[in-house]
Amino acid sequence: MDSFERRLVADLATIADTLPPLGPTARPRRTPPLSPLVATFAVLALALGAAYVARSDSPPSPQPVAPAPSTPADALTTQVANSLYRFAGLDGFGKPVADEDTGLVTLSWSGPVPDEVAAEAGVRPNGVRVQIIRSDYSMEELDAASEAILARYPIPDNPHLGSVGPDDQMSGLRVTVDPTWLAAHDVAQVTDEFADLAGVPVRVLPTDVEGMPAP
Amino acid sequence: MPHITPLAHLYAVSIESQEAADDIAGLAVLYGQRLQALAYFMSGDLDVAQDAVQTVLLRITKQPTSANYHYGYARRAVINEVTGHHRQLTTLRRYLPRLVGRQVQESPEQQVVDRHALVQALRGLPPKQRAATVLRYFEDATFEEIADVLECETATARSLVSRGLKALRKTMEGETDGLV
Repeated sequence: MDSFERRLVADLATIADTLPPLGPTARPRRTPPLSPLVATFAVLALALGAAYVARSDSPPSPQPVAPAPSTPADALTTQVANSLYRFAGLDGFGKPVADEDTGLVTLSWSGPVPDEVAAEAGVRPNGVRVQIIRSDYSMEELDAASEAILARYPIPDNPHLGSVGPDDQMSGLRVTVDPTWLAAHDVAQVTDEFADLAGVPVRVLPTDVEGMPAP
Repeated sequence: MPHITPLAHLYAVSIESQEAADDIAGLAVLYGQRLQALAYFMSGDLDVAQDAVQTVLLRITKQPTSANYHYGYARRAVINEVTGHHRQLTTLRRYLPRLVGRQVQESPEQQVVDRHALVQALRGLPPKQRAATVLRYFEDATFEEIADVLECETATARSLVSRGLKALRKTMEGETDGLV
């Protein structure tokens, strides 16, 4: 092991020690909706990038990044959304989605909603609202459907695949693929093939270079 | 010093068996922090890492077999969760502007270790090279263990580590004349 490797080992250990505790502060990140703030930033960044490229042949330099919004309301909304994962073992559990801008947590549920889950709906003393909506599928069902596609088309062997996962409404899967690849194929045929594999409705969308679905 | 995670408390209420609760609590306390670091090096993002570890631990609670509680199983599951599904990576890119901003704010240790640069350099490696490199230099895994996790030949694991290290060396030394 040379000096670079020894330093790599030491630095990885140091970084690991500085990470915060693993806990319930992580956001529910299974294909959460794009928040208006992030969407606005992304559109603005794309517009700035396009304008820059239009004026110069040189590659655009990194744009300054806006600091993260972090307010008590953000944390509370996320905390409430995370707390709903305690129902993840129950049949029908869909996906808690935290809208930090409005303080609303939406839990999707497939099938009959257990009383203990229904009791979560309403306004919390901290002001965070919780609503429960019906969805066509549970997370477990859509995870299995995703696995069916990924088993046939593993990501490492199929670089044109951008992502496979539940859509925000838990009504089926959203599959993103490279736009160039998609342009060379019959979208309807590709969609049908994915849907046959998954056994649930599938939408196939082009993925832009940043991994976001194109408008 | 390992952190004591409240994750077990969060999930303990959702599992049926007290025995399983004890096991998952033990797993989270023993391995949660290490799994989080592993996932962080694989994804380059703390939220993605925490999500991956939580997903794996939750999956273990839903399929409480003794084999699932083995650290090797959890480690392999975390790596698959981060690299195989790709959903987290897509989410990472989706949220990149916000998360990059946060990383800059939350990195006072940058004076000691250029965490951002090293993690970014890791992210520049192909997934299997990244996994092999992290397993080798963070997990202290043998080439045989790496081959087992990545389901490849030992020679392939050796090659992945070699190429990953070479790429890291080129990136880090090319940009900063050293890791720190």
